[in-house]
Amino acid sequence: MANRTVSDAKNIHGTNPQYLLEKIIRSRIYESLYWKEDCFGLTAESLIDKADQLPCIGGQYGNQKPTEFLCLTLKLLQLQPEKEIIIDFIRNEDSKYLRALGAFYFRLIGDSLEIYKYLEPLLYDFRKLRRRLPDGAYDIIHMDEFIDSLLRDERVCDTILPRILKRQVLEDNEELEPRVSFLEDELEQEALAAAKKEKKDRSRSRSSSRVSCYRNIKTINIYFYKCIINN
Amino acid sequence: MSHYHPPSQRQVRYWPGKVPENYKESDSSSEEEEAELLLKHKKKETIQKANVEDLKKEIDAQAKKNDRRLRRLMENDKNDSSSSENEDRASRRRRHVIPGEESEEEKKEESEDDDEEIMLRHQRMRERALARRKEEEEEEEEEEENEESEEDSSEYTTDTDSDSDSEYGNRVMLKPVFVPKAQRETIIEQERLAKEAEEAAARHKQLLEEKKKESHQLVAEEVMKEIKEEKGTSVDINMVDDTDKPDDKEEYELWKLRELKRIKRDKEEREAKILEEEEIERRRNMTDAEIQREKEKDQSKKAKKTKYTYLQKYYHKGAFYQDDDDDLKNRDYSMPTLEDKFDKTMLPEIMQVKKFGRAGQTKWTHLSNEDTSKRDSLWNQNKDLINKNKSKMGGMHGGFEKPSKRRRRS
Repeated sequence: MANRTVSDAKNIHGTNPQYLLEKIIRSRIYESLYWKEDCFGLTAESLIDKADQLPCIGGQYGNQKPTEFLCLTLKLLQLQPEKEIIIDFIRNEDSKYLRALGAFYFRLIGDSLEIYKYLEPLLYDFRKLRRRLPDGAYDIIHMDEFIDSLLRDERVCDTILPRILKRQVLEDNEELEPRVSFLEDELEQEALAAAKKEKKDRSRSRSSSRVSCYRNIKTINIYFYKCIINN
Repeated sequence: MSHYHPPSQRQVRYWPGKVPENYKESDSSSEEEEAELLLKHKKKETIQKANVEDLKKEIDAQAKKNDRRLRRLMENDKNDSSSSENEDRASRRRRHVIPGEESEEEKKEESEDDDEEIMLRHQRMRERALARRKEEEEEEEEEEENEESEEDSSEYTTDTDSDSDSEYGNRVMLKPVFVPKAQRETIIEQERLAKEAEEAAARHKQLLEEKKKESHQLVAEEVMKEIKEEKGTSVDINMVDDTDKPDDKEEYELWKLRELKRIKRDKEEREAKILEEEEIERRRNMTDAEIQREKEKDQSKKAKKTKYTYLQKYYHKGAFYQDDDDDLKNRDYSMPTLEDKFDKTMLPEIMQVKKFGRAGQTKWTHLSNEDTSKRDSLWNQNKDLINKNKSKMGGMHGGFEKPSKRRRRS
């Protein structure tokens, strides 16, 4: 088996899933000691332990050596476990590195709607993750930052992420609800509570106006896209 | 060589019925030899006489070859029957021992003896020749096997031949004695040696294996130690602490800040999008003239280029990192830096060049200095000269006419 993708793997984004990592990084992973020693003969189940023991996330470091995180990502791409398993990885609360790995892998293989659906809840997770920098040093990144970069950036952990639709597009297509952070609700309630004491009328009008503004934006957007389609 | 060479000692005459001098009871091989000789002698007589009876007897004798006593008896009979003369002579000899007196008969006898001797010698020679031939054959085989050079082998053979010849004449050859295989010392010795060698080899192998195991273990220990050290150091020095406390208010506050920033960013994005759409809608409703007017207004708004100082170097701001909203992107790259800040108009004219005093020094200050298309440049002063030159250039005199037009005229 070695470095080949499992025979019954489905093509992802039109190619062999392993090709989602660049050729040069892939070959560096194949040559790395961690791949040869620890990733040999792993299964989706035994991989969990390995992911749990991950010291850090990150791309390449030092003399362009791939991190263990990248090695395990490639292993996942090679094994192509079922989506439910990955979702379980993401949902697990105990191991943050397993969650990070699952999220990264899911970002590589998932479609945009699913990615927003499963990764956005992780923005509430503010646990620390150790990240390996290209010069070999470590720093701390938080899970929500990592997930945010997964959703927005083109390149994370020295890997070009597949393009996904922007959130706004999905919202305009009414495939996705606009994201409302519970912090937003909290703040709004706080603001309301604070405003109630002093200027009852003004605060009310302001909040209502904001809501109406959103509604207006939505209608305008819908109108705009309808125009484009008609043209 | 297992071939028998008769001893070259003093030849002993064999007398029938008399015990020979060198006779030994246990020596069976010599007896056989004697018997053979006798047989041969007898054969000769039978051939001379061509006696059928004798032939028969001989056959009997051959059959009963192994029985010495019978043979001797037969021999006696034969002698009796064949020649009474011989008997007489023998008895006579025993009786009168007069060396000087030698009858004709005796002379005859001697000559006969000589014949016998010759016969024996011939036979010996034949045997020797046979043996030599065999040796040679064997040697040839060896030669083929060993693939030795011909010269060496031939030398060797000649040497051995001469040796054997000379030896044969002088030396006393020991009679080969048969020793049963079980009693042969050489074989036992060989076996013992082989056994010892085998044991030694086995011991050596075992030692080697033990050594290998030992070294393997040593290496393994070393490697384990290294790994342990490595792990210890890497954890201690480089790793950043990433443990999370269950109720970390600080972290929560930090997260809140990040989350708010995200919310703000999203909102801004949304608003920007709305603004953009509104703008697009507005532009669509405008006429071309209105759009043109707006464009001009925008251009006038643009920041003017800063004036470069005299002989100031030009730096391109580069094409990379233009997407990041950095301080880097918003810098004014036309500002003078380092030596460009120095006012070069104050320098003597000869120093008013780029890279003055260096290998890459040029004699040019500005492109505008070298511009010959200017009206006041030296090139444009003498109009007559220019026109003269122009008239010499191809296609510069008169208008252009089609060649076909000219043809029609003529």
